[in-house]
Amino acid sequence: MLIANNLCKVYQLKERKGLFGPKTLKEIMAVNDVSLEIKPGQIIGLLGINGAGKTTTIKMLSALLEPTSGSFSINGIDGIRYPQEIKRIVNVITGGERNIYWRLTARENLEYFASLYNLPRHKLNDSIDELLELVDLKEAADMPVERYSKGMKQRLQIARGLVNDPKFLFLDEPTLGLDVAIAKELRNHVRHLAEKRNKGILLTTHYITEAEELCDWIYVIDKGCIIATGTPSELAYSTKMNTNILVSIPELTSGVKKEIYEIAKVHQAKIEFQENTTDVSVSISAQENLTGQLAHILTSNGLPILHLKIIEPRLEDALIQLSYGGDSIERNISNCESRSYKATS
Amino acid sequence: MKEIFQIVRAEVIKQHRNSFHSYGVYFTLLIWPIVVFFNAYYSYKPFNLSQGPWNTFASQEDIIMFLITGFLGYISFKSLLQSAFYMGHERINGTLETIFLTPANRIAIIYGRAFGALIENIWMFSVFCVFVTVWIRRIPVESLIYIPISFIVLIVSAAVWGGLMNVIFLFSRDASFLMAVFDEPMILFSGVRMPTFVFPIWAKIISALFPLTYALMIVRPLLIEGSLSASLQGIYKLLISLLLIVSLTLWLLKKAEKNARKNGNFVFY
Repeated sequence: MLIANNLCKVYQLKERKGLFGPKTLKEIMAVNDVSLEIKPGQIIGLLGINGAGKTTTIKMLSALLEPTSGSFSINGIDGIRYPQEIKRIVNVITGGERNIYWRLTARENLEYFASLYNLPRHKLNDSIDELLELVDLKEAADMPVERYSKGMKQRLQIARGLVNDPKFLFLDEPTLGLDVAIAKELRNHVRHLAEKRNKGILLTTHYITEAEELCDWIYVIDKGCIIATGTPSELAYSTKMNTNILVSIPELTSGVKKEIYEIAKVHQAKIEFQENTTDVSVSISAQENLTGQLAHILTSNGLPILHLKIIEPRLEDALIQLSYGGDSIERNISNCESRSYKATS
Repeated sequence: MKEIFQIVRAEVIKQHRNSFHSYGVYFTLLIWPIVVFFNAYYSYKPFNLSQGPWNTFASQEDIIMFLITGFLGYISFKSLLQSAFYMGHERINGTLETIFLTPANRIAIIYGRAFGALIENIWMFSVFCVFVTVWIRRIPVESLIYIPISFIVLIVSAAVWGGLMNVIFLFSRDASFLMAVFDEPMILFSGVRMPTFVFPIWAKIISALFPLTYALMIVRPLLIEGSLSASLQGIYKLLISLLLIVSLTLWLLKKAEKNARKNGNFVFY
């Protein structure tokens, strides 16, 4: 299990005015008091806008960066004291086409990186064949990477990230710039790694559908602080965004109208009626999903539902509201604690 | 030890696959040093070589041997400076950070990289040098053993130098100025083209900073005079020099990784 407690990272930037001007030291808090947990087999999302602190968090957890304060451990190994041990059991896969040698073939790339993990030579070839099979690159295994498509390079990145059979895998925007079909294929790979190979996965992405589809739990990070946590659906509902119900019925009696007003009053819902030539449209917007209650009123009054549309809160909207602000969220950038909250279902 | 050997081997193979993919590369590796060598030789040719420092040499063949050993040493050291310079590509490609993401022994990576570049860069010119050496000197059978000994001295000292260069380039993305700092001064002060004993004191002090100076102090007596005893003085100096360089390399390596873990600068380019 990966446990991170109160991780902070402060970068010190030296700035000089002109060539011979005095140096000034500027501190930037990239990550501020981040705590998170990842269990084996879980896919955890770390979402946030650019510069929120996602990559810095991943680099700290992979022992590439030393936290300024805080601690983390993976399977009981102290990540601050034993960075080399941590590096044996984690790996990072980043999006894009870097991090691999373009003039080498896929097999040669994997041979090189596997050697750095001191994989025994007798196991190396079998392991590389298995990885190439997993990412569907076996046929192109002996072709220089420079001839690969973007998707193939990204699949090779995944294989590279698995050469040491890591217990925990950090995916930093792994589907960046990929077309929908390849991205879908990669998501399947990621799910397979968590479900079948029991790997703990931390995923950062800007594609919200990806997070909704894959993540068991999400941490929302902004300006280095964790500002919300929860399952994708919990987060979507937690920002006090409304569920909108649009229903069409043949006619509207005053009794039905009254009943609808009553539930709208109880749930502080916004309600609109629109009479059309052939039907009547009713629109209800509330924080709770009132579909059941509305359907009950209509059916008990013998009104058939001609059309029903439910627009539920989306994670994307919730994230925009969390990251860019909204009336319903108290924002206090200087103090993480006062602005963070935990989503509850 | 097995772990270190595996990493060095992987690094050498990667260097070969990543940098040497056409016969044209090998061709230039042969042509360029030969042109530089002949350039130096024919620069001296018009002058009266029985005067000045050159009168210590018995013949024209000795001068050729002096220059060719000097250039073999210089090419070895320079190629490692160039190889270290290409560390910048690893930064840009993101592979430098990916290497440091692994728990691989850093010293093995640094020296594997140096060793790989060295072998690739000098083997063709080395063959040429051996050919010239045997051709002009008609080396007696009992002295043939000095040829591999000389190569070992040059390869070990150049690899140690290369390790230091790699670490310096690892430390800073702005280390390319070292090309200017080390390249021309090395060819001048290490005695590649002229013997160091003709230098004034201040120049001798600078020449003492380059391990190539001591490597040539060993190799030249072996190949020109066939004298092992004359090269002994150089052995001690070279060993001390290499020991200091290895210590500095290890210290800088530790500092470079610590610095990178603090600032995340392996991705800056």
